[in-house]
Amino acid sequence: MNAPDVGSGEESGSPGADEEFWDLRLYVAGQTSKSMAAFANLKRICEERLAGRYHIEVVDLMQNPQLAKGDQILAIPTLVRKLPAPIRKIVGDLSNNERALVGLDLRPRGGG
Amino acid sequence: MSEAVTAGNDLMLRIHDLTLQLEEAEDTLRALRHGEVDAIVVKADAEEQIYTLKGADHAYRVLFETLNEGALTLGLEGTVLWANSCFAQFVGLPLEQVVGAPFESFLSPADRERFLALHEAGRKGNSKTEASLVHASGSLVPVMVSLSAVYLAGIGETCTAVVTDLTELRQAQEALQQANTELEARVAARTAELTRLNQALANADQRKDRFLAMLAHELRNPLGPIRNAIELLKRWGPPDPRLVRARGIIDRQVKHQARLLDDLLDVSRIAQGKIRIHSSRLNLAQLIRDAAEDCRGIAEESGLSLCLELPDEPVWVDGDAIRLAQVVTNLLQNAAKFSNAGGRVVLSLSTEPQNGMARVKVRDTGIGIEREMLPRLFESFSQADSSLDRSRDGLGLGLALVKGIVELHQGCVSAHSDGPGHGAEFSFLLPLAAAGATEALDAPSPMGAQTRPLRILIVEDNRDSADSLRELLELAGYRVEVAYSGQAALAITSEFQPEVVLCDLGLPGMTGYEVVGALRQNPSLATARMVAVSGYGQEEDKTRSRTAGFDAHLTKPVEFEELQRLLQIPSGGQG
Repeated sequence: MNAPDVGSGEESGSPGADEEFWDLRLYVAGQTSKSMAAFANLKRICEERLAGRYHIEVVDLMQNPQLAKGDQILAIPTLVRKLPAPIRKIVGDLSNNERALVGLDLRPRGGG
Repeated sequence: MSEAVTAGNDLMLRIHDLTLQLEEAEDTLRALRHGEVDAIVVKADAEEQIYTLKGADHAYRVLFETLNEGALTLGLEGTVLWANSCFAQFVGLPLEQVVGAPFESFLSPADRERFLALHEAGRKGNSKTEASLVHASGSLVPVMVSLSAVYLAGIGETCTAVVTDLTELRQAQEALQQANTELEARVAARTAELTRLNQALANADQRKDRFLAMLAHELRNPLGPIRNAIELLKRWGPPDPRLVRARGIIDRQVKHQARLLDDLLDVSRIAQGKIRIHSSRLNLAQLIRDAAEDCRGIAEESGLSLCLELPDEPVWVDGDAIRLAQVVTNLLQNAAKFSNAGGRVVLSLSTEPQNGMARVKVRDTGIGIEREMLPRLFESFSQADSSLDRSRDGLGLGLALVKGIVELHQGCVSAHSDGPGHGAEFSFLLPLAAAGATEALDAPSPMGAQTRPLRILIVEDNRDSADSLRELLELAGYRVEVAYSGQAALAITSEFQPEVVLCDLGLPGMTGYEVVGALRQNPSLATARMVAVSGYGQEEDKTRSRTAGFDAHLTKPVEFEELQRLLQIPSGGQG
């Protein structure tokens, strides 16, 4: 999928933990309902937590299945956090808000 | 020792990696188990393939994908979460550039703010608006956007948008509007054209009436001298029977022609609204009796019997005696004209007190009238059956005149026939006069013969007219002088001392009005009677003559009897 630039990424500001730039890649399979849900949930989380400093690239594996190789995608939808390091993968439609936040490291992990 | 530490560290890192891999695998399994994914990547023949789960909503998804309307699901702030290919076609972009973009970015700038408010409303319920989409080519697509709030499990609050293309509707509306405008313009143009044609027709009709009046007038002028000449021949002419017969022919034909021209003149005057009715209280029964008597000759000539059915008591109406007699005469002549010898004409008068009308009927046993012809009978120049080789002469004006005169009397005319061969019946109604009528007849008092020849001066530039009239008057015992111009008239008056001046009005150089003005300056002519002789006999013509100083006004061609009556009135009386 030719990724639309969703969300205004570039914004100059003083560097700091809260000012890190987030580069996210969402793997979808056409317009399946889970893909749609994942996109909607991701968009909401980003607007709430990372407004102005994130970029979402949507990769449609229906169009280009071979792109699954790069990030070793198995199930769809899957979100890959490219930046900040380290790379993180979250499988699913991000409908569980708590898990999504933990997976993205936007909230300290609970035990286990 | 350090090797052991390094090995230990490696092991730790390895464990950490494996832990992460395990977590990822567990997370994937969890997501699969919880149904958070609906597609998986499968490696087959070293190629990745995508397998999607087709849920129970598959049929609906196909429906929306193939819908001929744009359908979208909008997330927070109007982000397009899902769109069908129809909407992508509306905006001329690939589907993947549509999904994820804010919906308002596809709207024309003018519609954007309005849409945001609408979206706000749409999130609560339903809303609808017309807007313009911007196609990738830059053109605008008129659409109807309707929004309705939908809660989707796993996503939350969303909006469903249905976008309908109004292009064709708008085009149809515009075409309709244009057709309407064009139609209106054409109707207006046609109306204007008809109005113009109507006006042109009315103008042409007026010109025709004026032309007819002028034509009749000009044609009638020469009849005066001819008539005078016949009168001369009657008195002086040789008694040779052939000449007497020839004279009779001329006499009758001139009278006939004069009547035709009179009718023509009358019809055009009525058409121009120039005829005035000189109304007085009169006994219609007597008037009809007199008119029938005048026509008895015509009836007898045609071999017809004329019967009268009149009430014994008088029937009073207000009207112009001369004109009403003309109506009766015309109807009788009409009946005679269209009857064959041996026929019968019945002239009747009755009153209809319930509607205050007098009814005059002329019934004949003549050739009758075709049903289709009846409505047009009273139109000018509409003599029925022109196929008769015009064996029935006339201009077809008689009935038009009847209608015109009767209507000037607030009456109405009608005609009836049971068809060809069954005769015809013409009738007219006149309003009865109010009660308390009295007969007011000013009977002309015939005067005795002249004891002394009257001196008459004829002022007339038409020498034929002047000379023939002079001979007639001399024959009747008057002393006559002729002046062919106004100047000549002024030159001889002092010596001749005329008692009556018959003065033409249309003289060259000096008009009749100027002549009478000059003569009135002469005290020796104080008692002389000035009589205007003119081709024009309208009321305004008579008034003008009177104003100019004339005592009387005669209309050409002057009937000799009428002139003699005038001459017999004692000097100083009004003509």
